[in-house]
Amino acid sequence: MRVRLSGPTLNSGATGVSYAAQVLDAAAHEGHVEIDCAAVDRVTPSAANALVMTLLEGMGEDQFIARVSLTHATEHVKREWAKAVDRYQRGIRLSSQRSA
Amino acid sequence: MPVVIHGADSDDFVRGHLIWSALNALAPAKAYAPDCVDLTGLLLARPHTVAAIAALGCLAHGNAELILPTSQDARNFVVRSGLLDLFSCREAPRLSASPRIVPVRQLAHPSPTFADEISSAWDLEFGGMPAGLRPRLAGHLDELLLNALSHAESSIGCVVAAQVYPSVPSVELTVLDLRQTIRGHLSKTRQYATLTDDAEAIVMATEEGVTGTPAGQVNRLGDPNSGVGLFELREYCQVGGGQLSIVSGLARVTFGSGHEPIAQPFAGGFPGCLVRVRFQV
Repeated sequence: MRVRLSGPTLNSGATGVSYAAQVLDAAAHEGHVEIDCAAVDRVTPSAANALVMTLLEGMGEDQFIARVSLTHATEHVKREWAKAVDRYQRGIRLSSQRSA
Repeated sequence: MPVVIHGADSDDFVRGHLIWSALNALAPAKAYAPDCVDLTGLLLARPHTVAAIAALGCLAHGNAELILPTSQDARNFVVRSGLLDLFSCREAPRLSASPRIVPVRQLAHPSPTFADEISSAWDLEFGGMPAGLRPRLAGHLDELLLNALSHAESSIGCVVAAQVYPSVPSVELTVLDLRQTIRGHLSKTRQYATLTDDAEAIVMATEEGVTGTPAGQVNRLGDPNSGVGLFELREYCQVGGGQLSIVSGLARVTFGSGHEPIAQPFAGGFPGCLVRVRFQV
């Protein structure tokens, strides 16, 4: 299953969360989900966090690593993706994921 | 009430006097919008001052009269900056439409294209922007705009201004918003409610994971925040990518390579937030 990101810019957290919902929905029906970044030139850290952290929270780290992959991503997009994963692993969360 | 802005900006943001007089003019302008902004004595303005002048025009909803500089260079600069869009100007019909060198915009919504305008300005004047800088600059700019538009709750949205400097070489960028300070924003959340110092609040806002968006909530644009935008920019500057200066409330703090944040008081205070970045190319 493939989820295509619209480009050329992915810059808002809300957009990241919206794409994460599509990926989670696809993952509920398919074994593996590709996130196609062919149209994306750049992604902000906030948008990357919103997408990645929503997926990590929804799937768990093991499932995320095993079942989600990026395709056609630029080095810039790959770097922001990896940084978002690292932040989550270090305990940083979206405001919406933090306990009041 | 007329506002008179004269003199020249220094290459050094902190030592420049023009920017501070322009920022000081903004505090009373929030209550009483200026009817005239007099630039007769203006000699040279950098993007941070252009942003402050633009904000004066925004507060007057475009009704303030702009009096152009006497100096021909400064006059050309103002015309090419796009500032005339934010004021009324009696001389405007007689001025030729020159290509813009300093994009300045009032934005009410995030702009996915402003970074491209900066790149285009660079391309137009000096040839291709160095590879790798464009997405980096654009990413930081997107974060700054989203910060300003979501956190500030400013009545004028935000003002963004930029200029390219080939001889240094560098790109300078300023995002300015009004209405509340960084401390005012952060202290609305329980975790930071005890903050009393503007410099401390500015430094805290650049730390990883710090956000004024309350736990369990999203910001007014509907985005979850994670507190990484300013952190990433600060880190980029501190490893040699440039210099970051933030003015908010009674403080200004500068971040750059090879030194800890330098905090200084800002007499008079600024009732909003100005973020100025110089990207080294």
